[in-house]
Amino acid sequence: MSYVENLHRDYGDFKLDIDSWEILDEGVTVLWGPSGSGKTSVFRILLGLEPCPGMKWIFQGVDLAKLKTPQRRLGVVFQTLDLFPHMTAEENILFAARARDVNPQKAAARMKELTEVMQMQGFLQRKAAVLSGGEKQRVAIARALVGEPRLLLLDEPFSSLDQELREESRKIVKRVIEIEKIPTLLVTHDQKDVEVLGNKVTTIRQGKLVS
Amino acid sequence: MNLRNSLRLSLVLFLLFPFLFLLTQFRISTLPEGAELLWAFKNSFTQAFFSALCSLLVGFWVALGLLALHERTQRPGRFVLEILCLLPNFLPPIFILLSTLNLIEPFPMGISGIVIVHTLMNFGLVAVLLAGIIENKLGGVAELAYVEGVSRWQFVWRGLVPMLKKDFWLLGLFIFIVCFGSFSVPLIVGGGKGTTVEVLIYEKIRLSSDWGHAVLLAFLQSTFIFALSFVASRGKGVNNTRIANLSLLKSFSGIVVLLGVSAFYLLGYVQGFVSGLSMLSTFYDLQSAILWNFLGSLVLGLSVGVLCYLGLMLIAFCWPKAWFEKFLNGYVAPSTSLACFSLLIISPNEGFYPFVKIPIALTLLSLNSLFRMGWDGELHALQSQVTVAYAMGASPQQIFKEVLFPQLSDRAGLLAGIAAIWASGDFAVSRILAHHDLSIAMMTETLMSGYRLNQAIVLSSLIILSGIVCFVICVGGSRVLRRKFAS
Repeated sequence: MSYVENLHRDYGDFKLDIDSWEILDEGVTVLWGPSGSGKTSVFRILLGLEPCPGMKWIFQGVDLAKLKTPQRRLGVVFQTLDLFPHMTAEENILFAARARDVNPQKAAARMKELTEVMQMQGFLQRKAAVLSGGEKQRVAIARALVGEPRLLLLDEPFSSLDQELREESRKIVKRVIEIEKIPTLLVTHDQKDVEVLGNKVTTIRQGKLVS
Repeated sequence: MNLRNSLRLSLVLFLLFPFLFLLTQFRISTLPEGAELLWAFKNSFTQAFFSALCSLLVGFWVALGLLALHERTQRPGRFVLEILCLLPNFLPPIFILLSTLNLIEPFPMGISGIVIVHTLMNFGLVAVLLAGIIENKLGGVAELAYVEGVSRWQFVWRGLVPMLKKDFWLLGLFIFIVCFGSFSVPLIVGGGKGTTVEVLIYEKIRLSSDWGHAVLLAFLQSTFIFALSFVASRGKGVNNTRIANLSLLKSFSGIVVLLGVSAFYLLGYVQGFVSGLSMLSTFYDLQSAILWNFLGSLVLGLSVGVLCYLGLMLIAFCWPKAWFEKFLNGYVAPSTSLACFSLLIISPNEGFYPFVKIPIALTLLSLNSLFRMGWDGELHALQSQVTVAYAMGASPQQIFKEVLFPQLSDRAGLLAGIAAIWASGDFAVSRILAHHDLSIAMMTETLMSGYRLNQAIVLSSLIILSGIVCFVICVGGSRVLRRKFAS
């Protein structure tokens, strides 16, 4: 388990009020809640993109809250995916490997593994700008994983896909999380995501955890 | 202090340099004469107010014309008209000055002359922006009103004006600010009756060497413009995008107005050019000067292009940082004359030094306009990619080299190219910083001051040529750099 404590932030018209919260060391912890409940704010605070003085986040003995965003070594996939459109799928993934100082041989080996697991062989050399929604999503997840992060954070990763693709993507994500054995925090408002992926579910409403 | 913080601070100090330098050099011991100050402020205010008002009125009419070409199949025609609209805004002011002075005789020197030239320069920009605002924010309502049988004027008065009141106000304020700080136009057509604050600062330094008062005037003017810019930057207006049928608003008469006004200044130019060609032999003695000054225009244009390209990339490298962004959004370029004189009093001014100082001054004066002409939008559009890269652990250098530079280089080249065109056509800044003609624009202004308008027009065609060369080099160069970096 990793423990988040004192996650309090006042936005004026909205307050986040979380005294303590446990995130699994293995499998998928889901933070579920309706729109406007504060999920994305929690997500950004955990990433270190928004300040939250007084927060503690103890992960395997390290207080991640004391580290700057890059030093937290978290893999992230935002709702908007945010691939670099001028790079190919492969270049997007290798960019992340370089950012984490993964040596080139190891990066190449990781690339091969992820390509197989994520079934990306057909579009690795295509520019991100021309990939389909499902392909983009797979690249975004591979990019988040290539640097061997401590934890994978996913913010509504399936929301931009149509119904059919969502089913398929959930299966792929589930498989890669199991193979990579990477603890994952999934933020979503979709009950189906919870059913397919969740090992532990926490509900958030109006900035407070309710279960 | 890390590299990016040092660079941010250096850029801020560079942009504030004229204020900081002059405030340390000159004491403001006495206040300028109240009547003179009020008179200049009144002139600045009056010309800026009427320039903004006329630009809004003509621009609104032309915008309705642009809306007439709203369908997908009409887009090429709309594109051509938009270029026609933006042309006077992007061409150096000397072209509009030459063509209006040539066509309107006798030209009404003073406030009305300034208003005419400013309106010709700005109405097109207003039209393009307004057409976009109407399409984006009012399309759905206009379509609904059309279906329900509302008349055009009823909709304009009861729908469009109340709904876009804030947008009109902000757009008017923007044009007002641009005209209030304008230098070259009031300098040429202001005459004795239309002296604005900007020209008064110039006269205080050039004619009476009264630096203390000039610094105070510049400070007052900048504070006023800063306050207005601050108000303008706070408003956003409503936003509601959807593609809609705009038959209720479109008006082909707007296109006629646009074509009429464009024909007015273009014909004025062409007419002067044809008359000037008959005097071509008078240029015989000037052949060597023309050649050297053409090279001078190229050097100035390219230097400004390169400096602006570097400046924009420097801003991108230092992005994002809240205080830095706030500074760039709130920053108002210093008075033209003040910026130039602050460089002038740093010796030496002979030999090649004007070729160093003029590009620095022009970069100082244009960088903020370029930032607001879409560079800030580009940086905001890439913000989420930067955030992801940062969260992945990428260093600022890696983010800049691999994410920002390849995606921004073309746009930076385009903006640098526009700055290069402005620089090729500059005569006002160059006139302060150089003791003799160094460029074709300066030669043109010399001829214009000597009432040899037709010859000036013929010569100004070389400004277009040098502007195009500089623009092409900036745009092409930025693409080459992008490819080199990307490979």
